[in-house]
Amino acid sequence: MEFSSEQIKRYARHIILPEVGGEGQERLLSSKVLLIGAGGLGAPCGYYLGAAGIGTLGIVDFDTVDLSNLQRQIWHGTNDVGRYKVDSAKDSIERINPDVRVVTYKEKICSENIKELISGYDVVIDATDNFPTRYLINDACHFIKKPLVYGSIFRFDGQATVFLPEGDGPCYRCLFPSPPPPGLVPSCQEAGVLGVLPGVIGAIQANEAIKIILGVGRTLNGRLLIYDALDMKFTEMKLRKDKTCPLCGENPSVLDLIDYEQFCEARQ
Amino acid sequence: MAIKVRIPTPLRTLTAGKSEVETSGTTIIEVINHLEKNYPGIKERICEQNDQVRRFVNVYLNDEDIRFCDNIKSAVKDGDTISIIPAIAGGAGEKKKFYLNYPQEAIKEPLIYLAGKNYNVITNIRSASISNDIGIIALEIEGGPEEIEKAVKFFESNGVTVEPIVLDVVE
Repeated sequence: MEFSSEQIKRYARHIILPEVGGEGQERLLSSKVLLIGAGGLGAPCGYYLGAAGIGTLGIVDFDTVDLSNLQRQIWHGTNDVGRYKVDSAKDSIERINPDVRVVTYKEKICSENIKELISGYDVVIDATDNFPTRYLINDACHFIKKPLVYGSIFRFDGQATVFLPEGDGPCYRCLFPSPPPPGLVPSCQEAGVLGVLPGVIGAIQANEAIKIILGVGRTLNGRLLIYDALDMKFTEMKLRKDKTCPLCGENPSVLDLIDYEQFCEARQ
Repeated sequence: MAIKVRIPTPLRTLTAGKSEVETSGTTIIEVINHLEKNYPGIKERICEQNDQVRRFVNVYLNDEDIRFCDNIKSAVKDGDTISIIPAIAGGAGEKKKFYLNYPQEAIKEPLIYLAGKNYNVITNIRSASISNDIGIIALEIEGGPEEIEKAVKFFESNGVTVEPIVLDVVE
């Protein structure tokens, strides 16, 4: 792959880093990342991935922009209210970097479509906001063997980690074997969320995805990063593979995708 | 030196907003019981009735998940830090929730009561911000689809803007 003179200039601050170099930048430009969720986490994450020159960025979201989203979902503007989030996101990325091919999916991700959706991508980013979708993405990434960058937020708390398909790493089910019963955890929509919080966690997710593609540094695989925005404290917990995990443990009972709405509703 | 327990934001309503509290005990379960004494209600948020930690909550002793130590019997000593980490999704909305935006003139009307009285629905306020001139309420409405629709129409006919809080994949 030959860089154009414009590309050399655009990516100069990456190329000059020994950890990236021309080869790393080429790798980014030929990589494919699937971003699931174009909201608070997806916006900063997608912005940085686009600016970094990720070659193909798939974005999945069926929702439209609401005025109450704009406090945190920074790639949508006031004029985008009512538009599909993926359309607004595509415009924002293309404004920054025409090198990126943005592929939009205006659909709800589910057991029927997820395997096909993720199979063409190198890295999957979970920027969603609900438990059924998180378990769905985790299980699909396990079966199709895709690296998964996890980020989650609530009020002032953030969590991030990386689940890798190879090695002894854990999966989301090793971390939380089952979701909380419905109603116990209020959603961001009703409980509120500090607008900057998804910015911090979403940027960390972009950073981890880029490291996975470049093969540099040490990812959060095996570590759970906890961010407390009120205390301004980052803590790190060990995240181990659970031998009794129903998905990736020694005697798995989840052998294919299940009905995740039911899985999350039926609890307790 | 005592044992520190880090409290996640959802549980800070029980600790008067404190992000870190001091407790004592020689095992995790003793620490949790001690915590319950000082902050009633916190134990049931962390443990099942049989004392085991709920499956959507993780308890860490320093940086180690207690499930990979001796679980609730893991030994604790002075200077240790215990962290409670709940599963968070950024969302987890249910399907029949609405945002009600009240116009100033409707704030003093008992509309939620009337909706419950006139239609076969159960209402539950999940969050609200009400002042003299602004009223925004996140309301859960339970009931059959037709009854919910009637209740929504009732709010709207009283000048309240009703927006569904949709279960979506975005946060």
